[in-house]
Amino acid sequence: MSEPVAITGWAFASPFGTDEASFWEGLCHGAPPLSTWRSEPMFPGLECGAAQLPGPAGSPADRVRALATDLARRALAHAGHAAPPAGLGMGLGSYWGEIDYLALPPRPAPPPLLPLLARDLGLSGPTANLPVACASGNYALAWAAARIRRQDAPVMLAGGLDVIGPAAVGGYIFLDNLCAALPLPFSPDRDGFLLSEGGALFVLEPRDAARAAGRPIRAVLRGYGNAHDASHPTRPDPAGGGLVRAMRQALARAGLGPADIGYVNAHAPGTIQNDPGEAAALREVFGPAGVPVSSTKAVLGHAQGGANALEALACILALQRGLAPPTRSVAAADPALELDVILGAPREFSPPRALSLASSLGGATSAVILERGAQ
Amino acid sequence: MRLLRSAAMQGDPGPQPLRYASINGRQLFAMASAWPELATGRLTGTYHAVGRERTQIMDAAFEIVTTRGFDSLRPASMIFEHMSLGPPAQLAITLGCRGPFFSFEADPLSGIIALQQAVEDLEEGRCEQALVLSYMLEPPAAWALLLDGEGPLRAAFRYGGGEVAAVEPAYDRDPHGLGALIQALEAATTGSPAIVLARAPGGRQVSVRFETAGAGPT
Repeated sequence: MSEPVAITGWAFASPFGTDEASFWEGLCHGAPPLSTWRSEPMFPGLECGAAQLPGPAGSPADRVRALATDLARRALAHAGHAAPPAGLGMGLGSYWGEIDYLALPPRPAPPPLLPLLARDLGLSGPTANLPVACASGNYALAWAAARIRRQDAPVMLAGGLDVIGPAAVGGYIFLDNLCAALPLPFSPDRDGFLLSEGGALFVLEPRDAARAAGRPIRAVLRGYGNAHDASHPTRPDPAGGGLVRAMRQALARAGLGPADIGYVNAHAPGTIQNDPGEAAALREVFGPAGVPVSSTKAVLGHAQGGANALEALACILALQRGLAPPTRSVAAADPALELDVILGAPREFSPPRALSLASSLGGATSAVILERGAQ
Repeated sequence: MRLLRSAAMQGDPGPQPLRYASINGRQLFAMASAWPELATGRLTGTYHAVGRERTQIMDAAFEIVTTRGFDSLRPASMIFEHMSLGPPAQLAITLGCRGPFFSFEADPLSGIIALQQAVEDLEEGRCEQALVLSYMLEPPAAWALLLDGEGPLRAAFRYGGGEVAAVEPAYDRDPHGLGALIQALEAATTGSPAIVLARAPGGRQVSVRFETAGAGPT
């Protein structure tokens, strides 16, 4: 039950495209690929700055289904599976994928997503969506890893994805969450996040079984933790209590201490409210020694349910290169946060483990620890 | 493991779709807030089974938007009521449930998957007690159960086929299966082993066998 969980493959779609070189270049040296998202005539004036996926338009439900199917097939191929293996399951993290549509007459509601994906992809194992808003992707990774550890499935697809739709845009506008120009996580001038879309799916397998089958161990999912702030519906706990519990749970599960983590990919979407609580949590867990931290949402924007999966990919690519991506667009970090924020250019880091944090509207928190795999 | 509390409630549909979610959220709150175990300060996890009511909640919000405009959804707390996470998150906030928080959408397997996560977190010490809950909108109803890690009750989950003599939830009245799980847990608590089998279209299925240690298998 305690066998490490290997990540043997992945596929992703981001505003920087679908190839690793462009994605990494965008993380380290790019700027947010800005566009303007405009809703349908039904909601005149509903628009926002956005970082959108390249590719054809369509209804959110149709796009999510197509994206999930494409990512799943490419991820399995990346891991060396020529066909979906028997007992394959999926932990999906998508908040808006199934509900961000306009079902009012004359349009019917689309059919449920999971049965369609199960049929499209031949899923016969544990399959669930974990709609935990902005933390959906981390939750999906954690649940899927548990299914591997518990031997409920031999192989799991796991990750998150979302596309931009009217419900998400309307909600975030009403919550005053969106930035006026650029997202500036950790900056004293931060004023909100850039809405984006996309996501990633990973292939999880028991490490020893994957190794025996000759599959690449590209990374290892060492630990994960989940908690709740129990503080406020729309504002994070200023003391970061939920994040502290999630990080400590993840470290305990991995049998690691704070000094074993070389890099933290923060939740840090760029909102005024997030950063003090997240900084307090990091100071509490990592103490005076601190840890290098960055926010890749500065260039990727906030891909909603897909955010954590793209951030997990950023962590894995960082582990492979020994370089942590910076917080682009930010010249100086808010000194009140007292964090070692990586700015400007990528930074070398060690030990070769990264911790990815997530917080959701409503107060759920999550931490995932990734380790460099055997290359 | 021990079943501390359980409740199932049929509700009033309320005056309009806009209020469905909050009414059912209040039902959940009314049920769970009366349980003294939730006021003890033990680390409590929250496990939410959800399904098509997510779209029903969003439909209600769209109906309001199209008939009254976006401004009618202000303030932010109103938006929160129209998220499927709203009622369980509000419950966690109000009752101080600081442990793991999960929401599973896997109808009709949502309830059994949520319960499995709760049992695992109790077994592995990530929480001291676990609140598993779900609600539906049409017809309005809510279910909740509270477990802790003490006691002789055991739960064994299994994906795929092979279980016999199992109870299947009545999905028209119990779409996430939590009602059937509560009945089985109550039976096992009194010494009668019980199996619940949840099946999804396409052949995916999960079963759980509840037994009280020492009572012997069926």
